[in-house]
Amino acid sequence: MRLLAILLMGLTVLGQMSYAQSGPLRIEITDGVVEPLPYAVPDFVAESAGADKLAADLSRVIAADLSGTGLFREIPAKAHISQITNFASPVQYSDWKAINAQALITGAVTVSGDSLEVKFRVYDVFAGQELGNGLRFKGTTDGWRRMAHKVADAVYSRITGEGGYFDSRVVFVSETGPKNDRRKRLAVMDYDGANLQYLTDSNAIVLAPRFSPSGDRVLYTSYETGFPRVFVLDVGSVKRKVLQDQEGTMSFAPRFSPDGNSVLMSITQNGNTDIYSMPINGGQPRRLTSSPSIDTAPSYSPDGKQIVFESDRSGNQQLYVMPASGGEPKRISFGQGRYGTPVWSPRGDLIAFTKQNKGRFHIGVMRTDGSEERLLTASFLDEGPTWAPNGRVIMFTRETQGSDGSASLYSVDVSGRNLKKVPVQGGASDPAWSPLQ
Amino acid sequence: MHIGHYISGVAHASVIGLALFGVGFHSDPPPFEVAGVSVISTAEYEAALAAERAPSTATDVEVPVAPTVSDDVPNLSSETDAAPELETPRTTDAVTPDEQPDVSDLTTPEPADVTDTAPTLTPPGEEMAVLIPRETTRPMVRPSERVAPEPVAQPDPDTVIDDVTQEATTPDDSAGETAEDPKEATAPEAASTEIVTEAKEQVALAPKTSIRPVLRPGSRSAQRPQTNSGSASSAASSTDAAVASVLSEEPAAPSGPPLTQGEKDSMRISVQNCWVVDVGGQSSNVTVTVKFELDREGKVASAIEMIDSEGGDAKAVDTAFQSARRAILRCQKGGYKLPIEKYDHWREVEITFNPEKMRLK
Repeated sequence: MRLLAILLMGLTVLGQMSYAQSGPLRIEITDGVVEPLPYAVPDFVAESAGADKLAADLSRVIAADLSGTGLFREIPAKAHISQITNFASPVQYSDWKAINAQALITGAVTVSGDSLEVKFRVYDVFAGQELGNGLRFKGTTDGWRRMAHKVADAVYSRITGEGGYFDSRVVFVSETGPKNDRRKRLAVMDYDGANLQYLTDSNAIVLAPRFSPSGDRVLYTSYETGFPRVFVLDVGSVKRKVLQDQEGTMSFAPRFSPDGNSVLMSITQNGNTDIYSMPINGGQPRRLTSSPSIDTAPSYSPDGKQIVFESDRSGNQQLYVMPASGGEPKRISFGQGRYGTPVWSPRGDLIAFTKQNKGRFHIGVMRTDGSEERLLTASFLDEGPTWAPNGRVIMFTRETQGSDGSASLYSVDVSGRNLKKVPVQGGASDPAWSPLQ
Repeated sequence: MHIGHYISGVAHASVIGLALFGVGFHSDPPPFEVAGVSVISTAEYEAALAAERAPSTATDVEVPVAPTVSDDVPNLSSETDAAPELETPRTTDAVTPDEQPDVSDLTTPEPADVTDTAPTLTPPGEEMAVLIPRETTRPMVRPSERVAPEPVAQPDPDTVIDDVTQEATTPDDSAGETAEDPKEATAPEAASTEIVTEAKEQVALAPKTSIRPVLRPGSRSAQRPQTNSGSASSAASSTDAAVASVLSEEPAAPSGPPLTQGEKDSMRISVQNCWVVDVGGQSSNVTVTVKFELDREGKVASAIEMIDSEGGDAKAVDTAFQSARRAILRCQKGGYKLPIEKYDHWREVEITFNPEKMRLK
């Protein structure tokens, strides 16, 4: 009897095991797709007379910002089923689902005299809910493009979870004239090439402009004294002053510290080039490296604790990292070719650089310890990377080959996708991205 | 001479003598066959040959002579035929009607005695099949009132329809240009926003979902009847108690065969085709696990909840969750194709979205 009972129990347990479902259906997905997210941004509703054109223009700038990242794809208006005629009306999610719009941006514009008011909402169509709360911006009609960039930044942030970079500017060297008589001057523009302004004249060669963390000042190198000197320029007033003017020296490759209170630069003295730090308001430079080699192109880490720079102390141009107060540098680049112009990412996780190998130039990124090096571009001459404020996009200079070759600005996503030319009138080189305004 | 030579000579002579004089060496002659032969005459031989020859063909056949046709035109007559004389049928005499019967002798019959009591019917047997009359009308589903039960005033045109009633707030100008959007007044919907005639109103004639079949009574929690009384031994009662406890346990898993790997892969592929990964973003460092329920049509029937995450900060986790949720909702379309007979196995689903393989390295 006992044997029969045990047998019966065993059969019961086995039967349950064979048909067992260990809780819910569990699936692990490790492969997805990499494609732009489809979204719709119908023209914003004009809530006052005369606001129709601004409403349409705002919508187009927002769409250009988002689609320009390569992460989003706009569904054209002619494919829309629903028409947004009232900002407060409930969204017909089914109509937007039908055209596969995963995100919907609606907005309204009110113009009163010179004042402009823009409000918008972002919807997750398939979840059937709004992403965040509605937001409203107020400004002047003259600054409508900036207002559009702000809306695009907010939308970008809500969908990707990261900060945007559309409301930012780029300072660069504008180039005109033939290659053997190139005229250079500093210029600043919106990140998308709009609102171009010149900061200096073309009487002297200028190089390597760099924005301050607050975006109100620019460091750059000028040859107006006959030797390279570091200057600081106020963007608002366009007033400038030389930062380092010691006799018998050359200073170049400046860059602000993260707090904006000090400046890193290379100073050549007695044929030796080392990295120095000095207060932005003037003072004695403090030497951070002391080697018989050329140490230059310093860049702070976002926390201000480390500095990455290039040096040929090993006989070949390589990248090194050292403490912000100086000290023994540690080499981080070990690949073939020469590495230069390193720039620490605003995120702090990557370092962008220029690499020259086998007659070609590349823009690449690597981890801060030198691992996981990835080359993003390859051409006759690519150099001078600069990070977007959110650490997602890199802008750099690309120069074409030949006597009639010219320099242009290009941008590329940190993933290596979405390489495109930045629309700039004339030649352009040495870009430096401003922080988000 | 030796004696042996004599013996050998005598023996050989004896053998030779027996062979010559045939003592003991005669045999019978071999048998032979004899065939019977008969003699026939020449005439008989010719007759036999003639019988085996083919019959001779006829060559002398007379050719039939064609008949001669006269060229004379026959004489045709154009006279009309005379109408035949028809005999007029003879009319019969009129029939005289029957005379009216004499009913004077008939008597009115006596009314019969009829009782008004209804006949008693025997009830049908228990096994008799009875047709249940089909309902000709189905209940109409009215999910919401077409017309408000009582007239309401027209809402403020600026009032947003919402489930929650809230008062409007005015924007604070001192908060700067990035101030939070002021809340707008909202009010619940008073009645249907669309005017649809009843004729055009779609009435659901069939249920969209079928009711889940109930379990057989006693299949899960039925107690096994106690077969042994108090006189049973203590060992037997403990065994029965153990068996009863096993049988009475509420199974943690539904019955039926589990999903095959192919069926699971089908679901996985469906979702991953809609899972958009931002390989350069911070969300690509986050692994999220979400949970939801499906209805019998394979459509998401509950809120999608994140039950676990690994890596990244709060914003990256939220972005990764949104991406996972979009993938599940976008690719369900008409419902995930899963075997309905195994519904209990896929009613609840947990999916882990792990972008590690796609991460930039």
